[in-house]
Amino acid sequence: MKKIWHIGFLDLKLTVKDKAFFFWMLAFPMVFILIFGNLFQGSKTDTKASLTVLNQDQGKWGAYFIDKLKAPGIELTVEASEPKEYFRMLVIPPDFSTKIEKRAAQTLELKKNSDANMQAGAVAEIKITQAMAKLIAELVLYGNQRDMQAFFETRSPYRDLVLVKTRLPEGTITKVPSGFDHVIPGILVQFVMMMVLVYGGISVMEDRKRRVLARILYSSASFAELFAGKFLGRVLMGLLQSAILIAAGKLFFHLNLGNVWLTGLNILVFTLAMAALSIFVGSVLRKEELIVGVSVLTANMFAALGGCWWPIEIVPPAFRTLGMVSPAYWAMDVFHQVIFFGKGFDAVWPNFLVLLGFTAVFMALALRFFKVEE
Amino acid sequence: MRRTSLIIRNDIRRRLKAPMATILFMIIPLAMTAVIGMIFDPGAGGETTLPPIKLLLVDQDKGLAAKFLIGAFDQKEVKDMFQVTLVDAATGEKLMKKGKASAMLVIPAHFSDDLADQKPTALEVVKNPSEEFLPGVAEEFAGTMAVGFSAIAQVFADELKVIQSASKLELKDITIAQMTPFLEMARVKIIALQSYLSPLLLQMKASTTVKPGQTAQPKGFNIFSYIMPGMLIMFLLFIVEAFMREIQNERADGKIRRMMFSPLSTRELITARLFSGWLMGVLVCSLAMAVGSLLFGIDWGNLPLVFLLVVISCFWCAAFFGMLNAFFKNKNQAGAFASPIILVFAAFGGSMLPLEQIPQGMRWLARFTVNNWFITGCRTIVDGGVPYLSFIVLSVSGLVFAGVAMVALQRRLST
Repeated sequence: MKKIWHIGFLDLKLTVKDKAFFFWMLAFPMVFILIFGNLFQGSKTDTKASLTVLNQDQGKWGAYFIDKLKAPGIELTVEASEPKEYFRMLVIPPDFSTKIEKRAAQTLELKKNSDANMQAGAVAEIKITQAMAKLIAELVLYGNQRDMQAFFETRSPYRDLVLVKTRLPEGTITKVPSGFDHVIPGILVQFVMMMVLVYGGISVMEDRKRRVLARILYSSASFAELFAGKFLGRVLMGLLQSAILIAAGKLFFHLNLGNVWLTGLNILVFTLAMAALSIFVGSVLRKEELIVGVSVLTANMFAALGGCWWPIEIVPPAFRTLGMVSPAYWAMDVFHQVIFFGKGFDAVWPNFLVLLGFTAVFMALALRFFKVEE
Repeated sequence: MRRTSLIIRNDIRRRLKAPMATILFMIIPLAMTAVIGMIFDPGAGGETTLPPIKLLLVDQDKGLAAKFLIGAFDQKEVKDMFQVTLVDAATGEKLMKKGKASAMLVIPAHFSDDLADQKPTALEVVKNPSEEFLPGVAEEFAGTMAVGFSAIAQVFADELKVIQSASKLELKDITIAQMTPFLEMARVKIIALQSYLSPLLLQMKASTTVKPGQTAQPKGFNIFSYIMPGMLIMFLLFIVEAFMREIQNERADGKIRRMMFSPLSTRELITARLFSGWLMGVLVCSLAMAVGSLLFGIDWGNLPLVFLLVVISCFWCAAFFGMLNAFFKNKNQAGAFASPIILVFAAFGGSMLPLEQIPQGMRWLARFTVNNWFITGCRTIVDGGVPYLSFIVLSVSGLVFAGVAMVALQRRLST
C-alpha cells in the first residue's frame, strides 16, 4: 500500500510542478465559471428585463398604457426621442391615442437589440402582452358605446384579482439557486474529465516511452502496485482539481453543495471512472497530440451530452437519452439531486452503481492495454 | 528559394504521412458543431424551440373557472408548449420533490368563488430548483393566465355572480325571466368585447435591431454555419500550434543544428517553417469547411472572400505561433503555454459561446483574439458583405508577428 501511495503521490507532485498547472487547475476553470455563471445570472445591466418605451403619442393614452406596463421584474425607461442604445424598445406611435379613441386596431413595434439577453427579452414581451390585456379589459369594462373622452374620469380600473405566487418544492432547498450554483458542478465535472484524461493520459504514455514504468518494476514494486499507483495518481489529480474548484466556488460564489459527504462521494466515484479511462487512453495512444485530441474530444462530448454546458432540460429528449452514455450525465444528476433536492444516499445509489460500472469497463480496458514498455 | 520550397514540401509530406492528430483536430470541430447544432437547431420558423415543458396541474377548486383554466392547456399552441399532467396535491408534491416536472401549477380552493366575489386569489407555481429556464417559462405563462382571468372576472363580474348563485340552486328553482337581464348584459359585453378583440385593438410586432456594421439573424438561418467558424478557428489554432512547435522539437533533437551545416540559412529555414504552418492551416481549414458544407449544408457565402479570410487567418496563426516559439525556451514550455493561450482566445473570442452571450464587461477582450475576427469575418461574408476590418486587423497584426518571429527565431536558432 505504501508503494502504491508513493507512486500515486509522485505523479500528483509532478502534475503540480507543471508550468501550466495553475492555469489548468484554477485560472481557466474560473474564467469558465465567470463567463457561464454571469451568463445564467443574466447580464448585469439587463437582469430585470429592461424596456425602453419611446412615447411619441400626442394624447393621454400613451402615458396611461405605460402605467399599465409597470410590473415587478421589468425596468422601464420612458424616452421622447429614440435613444442611441437600448436593449429593447417599445414604440408608441404618435397616433396611439387617436386610434384608441376611434377603437381602431393598431400594432406597436418592439425593437430588440441582437446583443440583448434573450430571456429578459421574452419576459419583456410577456409583460407588454399583459399590459395590453389589462388595457383592453378596461376598455371592454367601459363599453363600446360611451364617449372615450370621459374614460379617465369614469373608468373602472383593472385590478389584479389573480396573483401568482411561486415557491420551491417542500423539503428541497429554501433559497433560489444562483447561476453559479448551476454552473460550477458542470464545470467541475468537465475539468476533472479534461485534467485527468489529458495529464493522466500523457504521463502514462511518457512514462512508458521513457521507460520510467519499466524502471519502477526493477524496484520491489509489483505490476499490480505499479498499476494501482498510477490509478491512484490520477484519482488524486481529479480530487485536487475538484477541491480547488469547490474551494473557489465556496469562497467567491457561495456555492451550495448540499450534503458535502454525498457530493464528495460523487466526485470520488466519477474520478475513479476518469482515472481508469485516462490509463486506457495513455496506454493505447503513442503521441501526445493524439492523447490531447482524443481527450479533448471525449471530455467535450461527455460534457455536452451530460449536461455540463447547458441545462439538460432544454435538450431534446433523444439527446437526453443519448446523454446516458456519458459518465458526466450520472455525476451531474447526483449533483442535482443532492444540491437542489437535498436527496440522500437512498436516492443516488443507482447513479453511483452506474459510475462504478463505467469504472469497471474502463479499468478492464486499461488493464488489457497497459504496457510498461513500447 | 529552392531550399525553402524543399523544406516546405518535406514538412507537409511528413505531416501527411502521420495525419492522425491533424485528422482528429479536424474531426473535433465537426463533431462539436454537429452536437451543438442538433441540440439547438432552430425549427422551420428560425426560432429555437424548447422541448415540451412538463407541467403538473393541481385543481383544488373544481369550479367553473378552474375548468376554463385547465381547458386553456388544450389550445394547440399551449399544448405544443406544455406537457400537462393532472394530479392531486400530494402526488404533485411528491413528483416535484423527485424533480419529475419543470413546474406545478396549483389552482387554489375557492378559485371560482373568489373570482365571482371579486376577491383576490393566487395561483401557485412550484418550480423545479434544478432547472434554470423551463420553470421560469411556466411562471410567466401563469402570470399571463392570471391577467386574463383577472380581466375576464372584472368584465363579467355580474354574470359570474349569477352563475355562482345559480350553480347552488336546483334547475327547477331558476326561471328564464330571472336570467334574461343577465343574459342581455352579457350579450352587450360580448359585443363590446368583439369590437376590441376582432381585430385585436392592440398588437405587437417584434423585430431585431443591430448595431452599425452588424446584421440580424437572416431568414433561413443555418445554426451550423453560426457554430462552425468558432469551432474551426479554435482547432485550427491547435493544429497550427502543433505544427509550429516542431521548431522546438527539432531544436531539442539537434535536427536544426545539423541542417545549419548545409548551405541553408536560418532566414530560409524560418520562412519555410512559417509557410509550412500557413499552408497546412489553409489545407486543413479549407477541407474542414468543405466537409462542413457537405455535412451541414453550410453556405459560406462568397467563396473567394472566404478563402481569402482563411488564408489571412492561417497566416496570422502561423506567424503568432512562430513568434511564441521564439520566446519559449523548450517544447515543454511551448506545450504548457500554447494550449492555455488558445483556450483563452476561444473563451473570449466567441468560439465557446456566441460573442453576444459573453458578459458585457468581458466583450472588449474579443478584439484581441483571432477567433473574433475570423468569426465576424465569416458572418459578414455569409451576410453578403466584405469583412474589411477582419482582413486589415489580421493582415497587419500577422505581418507584425511574422516580423518579430523572423528576428527572434533567428536569434533563438543561432544560440
